[in-house]
Amino acid sequence: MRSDGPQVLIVEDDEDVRTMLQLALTSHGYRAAGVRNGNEALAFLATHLRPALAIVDLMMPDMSGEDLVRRVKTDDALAELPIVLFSGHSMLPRMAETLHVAGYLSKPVDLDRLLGMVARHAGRSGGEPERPFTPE
Amino acid sequence: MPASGSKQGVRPDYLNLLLSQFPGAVWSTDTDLRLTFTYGSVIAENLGIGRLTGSSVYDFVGTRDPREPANAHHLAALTGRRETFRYAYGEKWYQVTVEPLRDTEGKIIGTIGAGVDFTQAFENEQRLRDSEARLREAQEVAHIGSFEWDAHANRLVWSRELCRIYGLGESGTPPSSLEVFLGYIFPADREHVQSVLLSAYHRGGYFSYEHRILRPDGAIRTLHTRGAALRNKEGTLLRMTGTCWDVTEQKATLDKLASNVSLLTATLDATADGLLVVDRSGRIETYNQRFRSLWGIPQSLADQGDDRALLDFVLDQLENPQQFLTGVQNLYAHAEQESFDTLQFKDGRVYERYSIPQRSDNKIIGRVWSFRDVTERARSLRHTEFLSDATRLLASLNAEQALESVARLAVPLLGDGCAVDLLRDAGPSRLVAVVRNPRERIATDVRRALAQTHATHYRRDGRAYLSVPLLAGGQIAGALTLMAAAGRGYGEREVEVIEELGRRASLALENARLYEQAHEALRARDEFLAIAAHEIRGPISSLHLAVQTLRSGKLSPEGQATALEVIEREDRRLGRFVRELLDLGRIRGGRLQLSLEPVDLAEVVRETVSAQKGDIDASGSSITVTAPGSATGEWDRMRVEQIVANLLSNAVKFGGGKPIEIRVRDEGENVTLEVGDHGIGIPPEIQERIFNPFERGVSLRNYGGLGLGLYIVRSLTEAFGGSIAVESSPGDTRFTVTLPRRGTDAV
Repeated sequence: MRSDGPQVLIVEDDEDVRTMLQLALTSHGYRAAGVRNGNEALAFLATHLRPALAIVDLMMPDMSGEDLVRRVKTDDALAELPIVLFSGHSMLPRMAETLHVAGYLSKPVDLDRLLGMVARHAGRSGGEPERPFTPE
Repeated sequence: MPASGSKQGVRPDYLNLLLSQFPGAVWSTDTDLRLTFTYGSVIAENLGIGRLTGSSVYDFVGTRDPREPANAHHLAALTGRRETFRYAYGEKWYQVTVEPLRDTEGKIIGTIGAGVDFTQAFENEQRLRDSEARLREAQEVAHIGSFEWDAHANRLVWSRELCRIYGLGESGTPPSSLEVFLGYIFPADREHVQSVLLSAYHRGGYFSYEHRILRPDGAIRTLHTRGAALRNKEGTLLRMTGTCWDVTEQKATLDKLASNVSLLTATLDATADGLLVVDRSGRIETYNQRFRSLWGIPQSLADQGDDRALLDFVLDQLENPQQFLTGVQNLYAHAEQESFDTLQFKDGRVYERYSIPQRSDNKIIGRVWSFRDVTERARSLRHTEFLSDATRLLASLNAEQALESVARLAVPLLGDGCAVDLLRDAGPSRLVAVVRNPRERIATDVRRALAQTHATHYRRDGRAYLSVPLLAGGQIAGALTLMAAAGRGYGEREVEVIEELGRRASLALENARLYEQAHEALRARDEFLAIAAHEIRGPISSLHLAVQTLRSGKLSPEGQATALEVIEREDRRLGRFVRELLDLGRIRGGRLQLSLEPVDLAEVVRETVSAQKGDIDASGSSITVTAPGSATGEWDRMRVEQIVANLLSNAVKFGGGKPIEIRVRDEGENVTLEVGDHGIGIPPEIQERIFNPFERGVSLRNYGGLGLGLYIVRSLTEAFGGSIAVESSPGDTRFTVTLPRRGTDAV
């Protein structure tokens, strides 16, 4: 997990999923930080440099992904943070549109698609070809 | 008289004067009936004096026939007899007497006769006879008999017709005494007749009576007698006279008529309809008692006979007096018209009114009004309609809204107010209250209404109340209360209707409850499916990424080890999900199989703690197990392990990293397992739901899992014949499982 690439914040309550996202990104040259919910995410953002991208699960205890997005969008310091929603929710595309986020990824996600999305918004190619954002 | 005195004193000229003016005639004859002397005014006027002198009686009558009455009487006088007879001569009648004329030795030497003009008297007599004959004839034709009793002479005279009427024959004789007369009378009537007659006898005046007689031929006839007892100025009874006629036939006819009239009257009075007959001038011809009672009309008012007064009296009773009055006036103005109407009363009564012209010989002579009280029928109809409407309203799945509508529908039909109270978790709560008059309030005794499983009557503030329970699932769920109109109560029929309403409302509540339950079950299932999908998507996502990341070949050896650990963990997680889903299917389908064997619960606890050591350590909780050396019972090992493992993993999951205590106790018949933690606790309102499938004590997706753990634990515990309980407050939660040592053989 040593890397000097762009930092991606992973907000996901499922420990194994979080672990695997971090592992996948770090192995492809990103720095990845993981937190378990929205509150932890806000705490992280308040105490760290702004990451290049945040991947946010929608359904989490304490503070849901949706609430987190709204908080971020209304915080001048954070408003520019690109956010990619990550969920198995059937309404995901609609929510992504409503919340004006950078993009979304449906669970389960292919590694290629994950890396493409991250590359596109974190501004660095992880060695994979950059793909245009296309809804599923 | 100057000539009186002695015969010798009468002078011949005076005698001559007397004879010449004698108001009749005197004459004498010899034995050959030659007139020897005639005198008198009659002869002077009619025959002329001297014309007869020298002639004979035969010349006078114009025949010598000895059978001619005058000849015959004169001839008889010659034989020494005194003859008196009436004789018509010219246009006059004479009363004539002829006697023998004797010399001094008594030898008959001729006849001497005298006649007076009898014409006037004779005609009077004749007229009287004629009139008596005609009277008799008339009486006989009319079958009227007459009688006369002369009190002084004690002589009773009956007319022939009266004898005939009494069956005595025309030649019969009247009774010789009162006793005989009474003997003719029908025994039952004797006393009456006697008293009438005696009263007339003593007091005089007119009398009349009706009585039956028993005729000799056995026939019973009814007679009517009218009479008078006549008295002189001194008050002495002179005579009793009167007439009598046979009224048997009339009596029968009258009796029949009276019977018809009484039948008609009785029918009028017995009929359930009120009847009023009014003539064309507005006078009341007749009415029956039912008519009076229907409208509450005093007898005195009805007796006035004025329809207008009746109208004024009844108008106030009606819901719409003006309409009623207009209708009545219209009918009186159009005599031909028939009508059928329904009259609504202010107090809720409903009458049907039928009106037709009264005709006699095809001519309209008045109007017949018939009134029928159909209040009960109308009310019953309205009740049926009401129940039908209420049922339609109650066929809604929104029972509370339906009950509100029903309460509005019930006023004013069933009372002046209606309230529905529902028993909720927090206690009774008023759903709706409707009052007819906004200034009134409905003072329901809610506590009382909600305590009864049957209809309850009570009074408050002078009003009658009726409450019926609303039951759902066999429990009192609320009450429907009606407030009667002022001064009224609830009759049997209304109670029935309200009870029925209560039953139907209960059914609606019950249906809504079942619907809510079904809806809730569906919602829980959908939520469960959503959770299950989400929960399964987690491990699948991890597996997916782990495999693809391993394949990418970019992982460090530590990274590879981490990815493989994730794969193993997710494999176990999916395996657990599958087991839980299978168990859910078995429990719900009643297919849970137990294989009983001796199992040591203390040992199972120690093994489970050991197996979950990794998770326990990761959670930061410490664990204390207090257990005897062994606590053995007849159970299914795998299922007991499942119970312990589920309760332990819950404690770890919700324990907030604080110490966890497990205690096993041997209690003789039973063995108990206690698992306690010091986490967030379970709010009281959801403690009883946590054992249901698809429920979790915390909001969605707080902690992973399908939410089936406690449901499976409870189902397994109960399958062993045991029980599970929970006590929880923030920072202190304890699940206690009690298992009988000898597990049931039940499935």
